[in-house]
Amino acid sequence: MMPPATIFDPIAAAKETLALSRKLVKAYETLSRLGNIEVGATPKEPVFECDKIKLYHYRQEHRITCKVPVLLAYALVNRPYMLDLQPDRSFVRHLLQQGLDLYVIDWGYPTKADKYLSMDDYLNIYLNDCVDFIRQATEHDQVNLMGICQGGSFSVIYTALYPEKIKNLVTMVTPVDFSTNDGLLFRWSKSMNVDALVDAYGVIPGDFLNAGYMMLRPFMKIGKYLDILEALGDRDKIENFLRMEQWMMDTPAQAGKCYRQFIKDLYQQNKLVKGGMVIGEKRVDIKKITMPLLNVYAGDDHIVPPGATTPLNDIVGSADKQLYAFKGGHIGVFVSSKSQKELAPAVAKWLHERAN
Amino acid sequence: MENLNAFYDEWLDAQKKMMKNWMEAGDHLRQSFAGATRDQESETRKSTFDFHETLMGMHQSWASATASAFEAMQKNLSQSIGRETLTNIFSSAETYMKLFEFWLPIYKSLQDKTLDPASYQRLFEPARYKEILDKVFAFVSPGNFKEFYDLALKHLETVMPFAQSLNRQFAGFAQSHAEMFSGALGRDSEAAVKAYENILDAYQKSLGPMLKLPALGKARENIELTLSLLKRYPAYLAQYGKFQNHMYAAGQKAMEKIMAEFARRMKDQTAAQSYDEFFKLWAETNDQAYHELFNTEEFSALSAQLQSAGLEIRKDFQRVLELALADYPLVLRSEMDELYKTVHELKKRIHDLEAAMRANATGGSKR
Repeated sequence: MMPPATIFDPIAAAKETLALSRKLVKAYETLSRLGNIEVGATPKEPVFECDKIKLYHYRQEHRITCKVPVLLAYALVNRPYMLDLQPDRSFVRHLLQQGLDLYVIDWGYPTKADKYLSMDDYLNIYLNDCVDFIRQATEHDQVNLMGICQGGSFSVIYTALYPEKIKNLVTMVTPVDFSTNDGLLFRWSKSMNVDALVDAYGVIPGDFLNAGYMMLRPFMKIGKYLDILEALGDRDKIENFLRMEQWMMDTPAQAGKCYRQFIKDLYQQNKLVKGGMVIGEKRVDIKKITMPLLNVYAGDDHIVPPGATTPLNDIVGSADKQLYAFKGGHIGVFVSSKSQKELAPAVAKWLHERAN
Repeated sequence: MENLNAFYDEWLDAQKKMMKNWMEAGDHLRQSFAGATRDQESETRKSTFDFHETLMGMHQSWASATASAFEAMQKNLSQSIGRETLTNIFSSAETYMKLFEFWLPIYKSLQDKTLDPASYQRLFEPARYKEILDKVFAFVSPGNFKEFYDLALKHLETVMPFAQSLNRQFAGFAQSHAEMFSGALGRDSEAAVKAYENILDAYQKSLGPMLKLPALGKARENIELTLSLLKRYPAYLAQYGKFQNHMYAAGQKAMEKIMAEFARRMKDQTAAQSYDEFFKLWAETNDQAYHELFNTEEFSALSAQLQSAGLEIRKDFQRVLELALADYPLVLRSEMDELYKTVHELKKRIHDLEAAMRANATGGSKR
């Protein structure tokens, strides 16, 4: 037998190339035979809307065992169906199974007409109106607020502004301390000339943001698309892959005024930690967060590294606060099997214990 | 679907025929290597390079066959996510094949034990490796730069016909430099900055004096903006060249690391048995190398400067467009912006009034 790689075999090399050709044809065949890719598997209905914002209420087929309704606030930079990608990978579905009453905000797709939307609009109007709607509809004075990623930063700010309306705060992979340079987005954003960007575009295109995300690991991206060629015979795998692809490419544009303040006040000046953040005419005092806090972070998160998330527990005024370390990455928090089996029940349990 | 099947069956057949030829040629060449001894080393070395040329020529035809078929395939896909994914798959496959083409001679030379610093330099063609990195990072081609100059200068001639001769004087000089920025200068940031200074000098001698002309009414702003664009563009190109220079340098460093690791593994007889395994090593090493580069303050500042330079051009360009359209019955972007602002303020006032009314109606109990 020949020792490995000591004899170059042109026939083997040609076969590798032919195999790639075959896989490309197979990829084409598979993709052309697939129907529409469905996302957002769990039934929900719109219950409130304001401009392009919609509030949805998830249909609960189980008994509601946690009386306090839960509002999910996702990031503006991506779509919330990451939480409900498909029936067997749905963080939402697992929370519903645990007896929670769930609402989710869809921030919509800003257009040029939305360039003047500010953080004041998103927090003091849109988020506040959604919270008030749920309070009225469910006849509860307070709601549980669960913020995810940038939606978590919004939730932290909102809770500091309106602590009386929030029963419990759950933050998931939420950046709060922007002084870290552990993640490339944190480093790059500090040097960014956001004024020039917003002045030039008005509304920041989703493609611009995607280009930044793609630069995080450009070589792994190539490997990912080659790896999927190995799974072409497995329809389920391909559909799962496409759902994730759809989510990644589905990046809404960002209202310029809001984006400007978010980058300047948080990424560049770290005002949530240092103080001095003002939303509309309201000053944000993070010490006003005194209700129970569950802060979930992902140990291998390269988008929002632990250094940006975990300090939240040190700066809030809450006595009842808990850090939950999830073993995985930023997306794994919502789509991995561990997330479904462990995290969703743990979050639901934590909320049940603090429902009264 | 039948037509579809026929289409890709035909395509695959063509691929198979090409591969058959390749295999036969490879077989033939391998036989000719058989029996080569140490005494024949210089002959073996020569044969190695001939062999590579043969294989690479075949491989290039693979790439062109794939590229032309891809366009037809893409049109047949109705779903946008399917089209987008197929684009990404083909683009990744193309990078995979480009690297294969690049790696083959080096790999063969390693096996023949003919790889020394001199032959490595001969085999590692920076221009060809640059093509791989251009593909990974989607760098802009020189054609785009030329097009920009063409458009800007044509516009200037339209608004200022008497300046044609001056424009041409600058245009010829600037265009040749624009091409160079994305070529050799892209790998040498100091030369890129020098070239920028040359363009600026040419600009000041040719078009610069126009700025001292007396006011010409509305056309003056148009001319000034177009000249400003022409002035900003070389500055942007200089930044772009510097940026690319960093990227190529990181790529070359990573490749040297990979080859050292690969040579070590071959010595230990633990090297990858297939190209696919080599590709994984390449991707992982590059991923790490680029992360190190991206995570530096210097890179962060440089990419921010590049972005700002591009955005300034975009802003000037938008204003030029507005001026060009000002006499037509069209709503301009700046006018729409004013409208958006007004609508936003009115909506906010309505919202506040409605909230106040609701608070009055409910006695403010809930809010």
